[in-house]
Amino acid sequence: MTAAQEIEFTNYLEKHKKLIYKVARVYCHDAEDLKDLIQDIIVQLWKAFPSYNDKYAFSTWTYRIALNVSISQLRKSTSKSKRLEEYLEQVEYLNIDEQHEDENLANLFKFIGLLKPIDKAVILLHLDGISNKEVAEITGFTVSNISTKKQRIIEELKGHFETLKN
Amino acid sequence: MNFEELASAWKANDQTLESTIKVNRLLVKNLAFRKIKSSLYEIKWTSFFELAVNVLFYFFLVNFIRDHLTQYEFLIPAILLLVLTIVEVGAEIFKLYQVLTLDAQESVLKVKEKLTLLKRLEIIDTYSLYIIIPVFSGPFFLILAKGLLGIDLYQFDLTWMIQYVGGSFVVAAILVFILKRFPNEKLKAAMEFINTLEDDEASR
Repeated sequence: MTAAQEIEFTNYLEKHKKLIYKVARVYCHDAEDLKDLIQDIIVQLWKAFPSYNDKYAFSTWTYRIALNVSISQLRKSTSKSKRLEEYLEQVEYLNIDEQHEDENLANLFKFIGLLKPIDKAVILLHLDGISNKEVAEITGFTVSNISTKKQRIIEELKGHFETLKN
Repeated sequence: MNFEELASAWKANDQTLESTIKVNRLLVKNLAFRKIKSSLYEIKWTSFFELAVNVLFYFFLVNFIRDHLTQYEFLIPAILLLVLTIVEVGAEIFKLYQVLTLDAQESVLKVKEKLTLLKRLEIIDTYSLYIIIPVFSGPFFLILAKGLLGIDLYQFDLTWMIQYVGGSFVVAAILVFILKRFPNEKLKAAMEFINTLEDDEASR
């Protein structure tokens, strides 16, 4: 990566930091795992940055990478000692102040956490206001499939909130 | 609280995040100097070693077959091993190709499919080992003794070998059964991964 690209990447990161955090937050509930996942996403973005395909919008491209890293993270089963070792030498590319999520938002994250990995991606993109067409582009599903999925997921989440109320 | 209200809470949180997340510019700039260890699927370097050993064994078998074309007692087990080796080499190349072409920039579904395939291959790999080792060890010893040491194992009493190969099938079947009932940690992780990623593929 050239010096100019490095600056460009840092500016890009500044613009998309919320997106990265939100994707990681949806897939991770443990604070330490969340930090690890954010680091991994940023490293993947950094590696892919020079070969960015401008056929896609930067946000589409970022969602794809962030979601793919998050889903593949499911396979990881790092030993405790290894995690500690990694933690000690850890550097944080994003500094995140302590988040004070209100109860409803915390519950929303909790219930999203119960969904299947792909469903998590679909609802996250919906909440972020991404169009069905773009969600289809990111996930690889068809547009009609996305709207069906979205309805089903919303119903599922509503169900969880209903149970909570009762 | 209805879903629309939740969506608003989500949007409100979005604004808070803008101020609570800061990019560590200096560290990001230093990314280039750090040893980067991050991939969607871990490449096992043993795969390359296995591939190299199998290719060497392939050439050994081809030479062996050429030298024993008329000796069916050696030709048949050698051909069996050759077929197995070709399948192993093919499977290993296919797996490596899948890993090396795994691209985080692809659509989520495409990456998910590849990851699931790789996990399935891991499972097949483990199960097949329990069958291959006992079933093919007989022909393997026979060919290796003849090809490398020039010893013809047929000159000894072969009852042990027949019993050994016969018993191997039974042992292999029992091992696979046990493994299916009580999978080891690696297999369990692979199966769990596939189960987590299972989605309504029919509705695509």
